[in-house]
Amino acid sequence: MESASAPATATAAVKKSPLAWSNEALRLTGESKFVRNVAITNLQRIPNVNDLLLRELRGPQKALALDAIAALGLTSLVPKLLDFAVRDDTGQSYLTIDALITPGNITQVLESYQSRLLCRWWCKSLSPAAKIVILEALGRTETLLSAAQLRRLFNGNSYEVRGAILRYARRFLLQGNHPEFLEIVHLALGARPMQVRQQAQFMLAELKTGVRL
Amino acid sequence: MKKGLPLFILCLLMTASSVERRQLTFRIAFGYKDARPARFVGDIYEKVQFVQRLVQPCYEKNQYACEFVRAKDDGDWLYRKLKTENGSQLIVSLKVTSSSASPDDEANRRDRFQKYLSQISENNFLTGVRRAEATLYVGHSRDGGGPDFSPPRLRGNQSVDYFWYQRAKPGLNKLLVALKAKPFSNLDGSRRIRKPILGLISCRSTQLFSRTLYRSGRQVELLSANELVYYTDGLAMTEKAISKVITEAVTEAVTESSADISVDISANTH
Repeated sequence: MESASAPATATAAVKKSPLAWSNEALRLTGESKFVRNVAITNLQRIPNVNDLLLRELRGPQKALALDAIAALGLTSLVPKLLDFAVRDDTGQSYLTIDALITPGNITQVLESYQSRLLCRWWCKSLSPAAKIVILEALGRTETLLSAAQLRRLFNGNSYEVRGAILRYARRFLLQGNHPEFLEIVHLALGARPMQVRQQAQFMLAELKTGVRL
Repeated sequence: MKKGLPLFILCLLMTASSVERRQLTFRIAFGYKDARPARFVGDIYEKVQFVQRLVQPCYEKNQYACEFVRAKDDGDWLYRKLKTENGSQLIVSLKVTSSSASPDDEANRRDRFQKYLSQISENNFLTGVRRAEATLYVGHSRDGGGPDFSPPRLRGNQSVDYFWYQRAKPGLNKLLVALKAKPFSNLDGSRRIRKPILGLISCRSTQLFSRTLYRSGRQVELLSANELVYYTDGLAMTEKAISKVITEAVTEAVTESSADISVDISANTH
């Protein structure tokens, strides 16, 4: 199963070069399913791979380490990733956590997401990228936020986050649920920048023509 | 005193209008970054990360891909005013667009807003090719199909129809048309600051596109990748290219026949 460019065993290669894990991690994206599976097998062979990947989160290969954690399905790392995500402005930690949600940890993850998203001045504010990932996850899992909470989020954020709030509301509105979210669409129709208004206009047109998800 | 004040203001206005103004325009278009067979689409996140970096404070001297300000009513435009070494004013403007309506490919295929966003991002790219000093595409190569801003064409088994992209080359053909068209002149009639840059920050873009693009005859500096491009490297390279072009403009080290900006993409990719 080894490809031509891969080392004889990933473990041996890691002993030779501390970067060997990242060579495998790079093959997790943009390659064929076969190459990806080989890379996963090689990563699994690395002793204490969990600790290694956690250490790498503090370095320049952070994004690759997160990709590897998601590909290996290391659900035991979710609590540590939730801690790490607070300091990660890229939002990628939250994408990795999303990939590791199981019936066993979904409640903890979603509660954590909600409290971070809605937290005001007493917590470190989330980056726009992190807010978008969280809003998408809450929408996908149909975790309900109130119209008042959405309005407050809408008023204090950049246009990409406003776009994510509209997408969140759209999901419920197109299902015919929670008509109170129409308020957010109307708020967006008069908001800046124009991209937000355009998105709201498309949503209204969908609702008028009775599109359903 | 009363007569002196209007004279003082007049002098100030005359001085301000005599300062030479130069413009440097970038167009950055994130293509539709699906991750088939998964439903995930990543360009929304990549764009946000990229813009986050552009608007953050500069931490070092001579760092230029930072401290941009977003336009109030068009969130895709960012601006920064700089002073060049000879004292003239340099206005750097950047238009950054992403292509996907949401991070879910299945949902995007049923969303009319998706078509609109794909068109906006493609227009940003193709207009940039004719007008901007630097136009950068960050996205998929579609195995030679070219820059792509829409959900991919699929085969019966729901995998990307690469065979069709190789044959039809839809994105590459549109790019060639834009390259062969007459470049737009600057709106204020001024000359371009430098030879335009075309960046294709997508997997193996050198092998897939460079020969065809050079044959188009248009004088551009091509920035391309020899290998697969990991997304963080793509973002870093985009930022580096912007910084380098602005540095050249600020130090006035650039002319129409500028040397290559030599950003080595392959060094940071696999």
